[in-house]
Amino acid sequence: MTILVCIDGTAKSKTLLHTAKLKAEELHCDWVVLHINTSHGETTNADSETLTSLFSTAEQMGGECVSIAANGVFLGITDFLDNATLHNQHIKQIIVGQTPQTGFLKELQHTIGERLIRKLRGSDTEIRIVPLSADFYTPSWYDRLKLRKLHLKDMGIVFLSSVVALCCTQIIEHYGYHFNSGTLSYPLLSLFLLATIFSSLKCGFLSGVISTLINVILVDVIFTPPYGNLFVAAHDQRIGIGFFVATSIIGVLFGAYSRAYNRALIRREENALAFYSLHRATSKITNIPKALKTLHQELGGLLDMEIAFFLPEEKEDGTFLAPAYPYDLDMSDRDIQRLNTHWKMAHIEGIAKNAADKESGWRFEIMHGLSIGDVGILGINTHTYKAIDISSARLLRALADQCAATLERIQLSEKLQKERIEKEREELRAMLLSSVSHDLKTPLASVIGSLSVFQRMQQSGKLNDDIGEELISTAYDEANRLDGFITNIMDMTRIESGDIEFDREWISPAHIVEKVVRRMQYRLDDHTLTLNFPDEHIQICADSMLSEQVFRNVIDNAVKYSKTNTEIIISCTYDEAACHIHIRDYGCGIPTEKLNRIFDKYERLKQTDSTVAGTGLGLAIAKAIMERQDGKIHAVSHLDGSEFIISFSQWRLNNQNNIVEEIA
Amino acid sequence: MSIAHHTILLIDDTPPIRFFMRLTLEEEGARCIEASNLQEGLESTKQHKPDMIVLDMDLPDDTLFERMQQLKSADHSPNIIMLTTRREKCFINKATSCGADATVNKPFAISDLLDAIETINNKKINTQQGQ
Repeated sequence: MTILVCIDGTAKSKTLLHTAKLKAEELHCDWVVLHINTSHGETTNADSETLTSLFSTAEQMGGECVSIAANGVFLGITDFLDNATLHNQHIKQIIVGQTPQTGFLKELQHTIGERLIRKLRGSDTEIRIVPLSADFYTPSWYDRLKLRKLHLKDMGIVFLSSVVALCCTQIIEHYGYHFNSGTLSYPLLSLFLLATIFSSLKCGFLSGVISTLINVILVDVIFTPPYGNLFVAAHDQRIGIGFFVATSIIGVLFGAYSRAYNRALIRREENALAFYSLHRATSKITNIPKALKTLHQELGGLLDMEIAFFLPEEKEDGTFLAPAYPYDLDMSDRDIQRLNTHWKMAHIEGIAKNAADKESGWRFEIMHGLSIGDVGILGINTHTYKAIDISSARLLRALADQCAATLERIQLSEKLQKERIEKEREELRAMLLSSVSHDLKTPLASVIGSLSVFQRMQQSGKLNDDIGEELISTAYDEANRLDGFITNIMDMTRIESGDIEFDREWISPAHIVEKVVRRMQYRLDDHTLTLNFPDEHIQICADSMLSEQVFRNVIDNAVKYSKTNTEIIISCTYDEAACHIHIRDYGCGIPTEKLNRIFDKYERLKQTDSTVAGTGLGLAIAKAIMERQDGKIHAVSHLDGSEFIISFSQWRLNNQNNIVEEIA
Repeated sequence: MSIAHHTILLIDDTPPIRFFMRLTLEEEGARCIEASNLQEGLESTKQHKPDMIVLDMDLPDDTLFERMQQLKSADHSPNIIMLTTRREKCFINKATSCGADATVNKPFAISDLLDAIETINNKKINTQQGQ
């Protein structure tokens, strides 16, 4: 026992696969996907891609895929059925899709489903026709002439046009031409006919009919003897009046139809514009909540109705739709139930009927995504139950699809972005690990190597005091360097995680710098250091220990990147915004494009041209500390070296009074 | 086969490492030349034609592998021992394909380096005997 599902190369066929799978599960049988290739090699790439993806989906879902070539879809299916019968394969059910037939001739033709039903009448094979689109109704020509409500303005135009026609006759009569000669004259009828056609063109079918009525009465009463009543005496006059009525009505029909056609065109253009503006408004948005908000605004303005978006949410007992925008939507339980039923129906049956609910007025449109399936539901509240005409329904569907496209695009790009960031992070982590391990292992190699040589030489008795001392001091220095690296890494981690407490107080920057310089004397021996602080007593509000570290790291950097016997100048300036400490060196400088990146903690990892040892975290630590105490650090490149500027935003000129106050 | 009268080129950017390697190797009777980067190393190779090169693979150099291949030329092919902190298989494989004869992982005791030198020398003797 098998279920046969016939698909074409359009994306809508996916629905059929779902239907087939569900049915097959219900009956515990296999299912076969059949595609009839009738294109004689004219398949477009897009079509064959869709088909391939449909086939692979079907295979994932557990179906068997068959593609056969035939001269027609119906012929192909019957061929397959004959073949199946030959091989004793019992086809329990045939599932075919049905798309709306457009055009007068096509309506007369039988669909594949109908032909199959006729052919297989009497056999126990069921035919199931699954609607692939809800657009079953094609408007007929007379649909355009729907009677609308009469507006006062329309009536005004009708009367006005008749009055103008009447006035014209009076003017013509005034100049000597007499209409009341006993026969209806051409100019007279033309004038009133024009008035009628004008009314119908301007205000529609009903207005045209009313205009006809008024004009006939006018012609009858004023221009046909006996004058003053509706009675027409002469036989030929009666015929004339009759012709006049008939011509008017036909004119009205054409006029009204042309008007409706014109309006439809305008409306279509408006819709196109609306789509364009919707597309423009949403094309730059990169996150779902913002997209929903914009779509809500745009659609709300366009449709002048309450709208809402519902997106699926995973819950313990399945997927349910929840209002995604606006969140606090006031909806009855019944509507929510309808919403979820609609969602499920759309997945099982392909298309769910989307008639508005008579009580609440909520109408639901599935937002069909192209590649990731249905995105969610667009809800439109028509408030009062109002039949939505076919073109509005089509517009709503198109808008829902447009929303789906936007949301889908964002979802896909978010997914991509996430993957990219994850990958980058992974790479950075690997790089950090390898860099840290390199920076730690190199000094360790010196320590272990030196000590191993020491031990070896000691054992062989070849160790003399000088060499021994040098080996030990190398090991000692390198071990200290290693300690420095580890401290740097730990500091960075602690500052980043906010583990370090900042104990800010008013301190003199000159004191801190002097203290640091004193401690670093051994590092600065080969350089000429100039301290240039103003005479005023400047105070900054900062943590003294951590600020010392900032200066130490920056000065150390200056020493590292400049040759021996060059000058290093530390100076202090201030303006309204901050107190700046400048550390100027005459070293190799910093390439302009790297100025901002040298404070990046990963920067050292990415560069390979440096032969200067270090974890490269010194400047990153300095920056992190400065940022935590509302300060800044930046670098400036000069032709003959570089300059680091450390700015403290909280500072004051400390005069004698303040000191007195503080002492007091 | 001892390393006496061998010329060994040490390419490493960390002076303490070069120092202790040189100390031991010279004590064993080898002649040592030092270079702090690959450029210097290449020049020394041309000039001194060393029997063996100890190469630090953690040198900050984008063209490390290309330059490494240049250390060995048609008329002169020294053995290369690489020092590295990296343990990735693909890195080691690539280095081997570029001419590395032995690997010593950093950090290392001097005996590890001497062992590596001995292994290479033994291999050399075996090949010579085989011929």
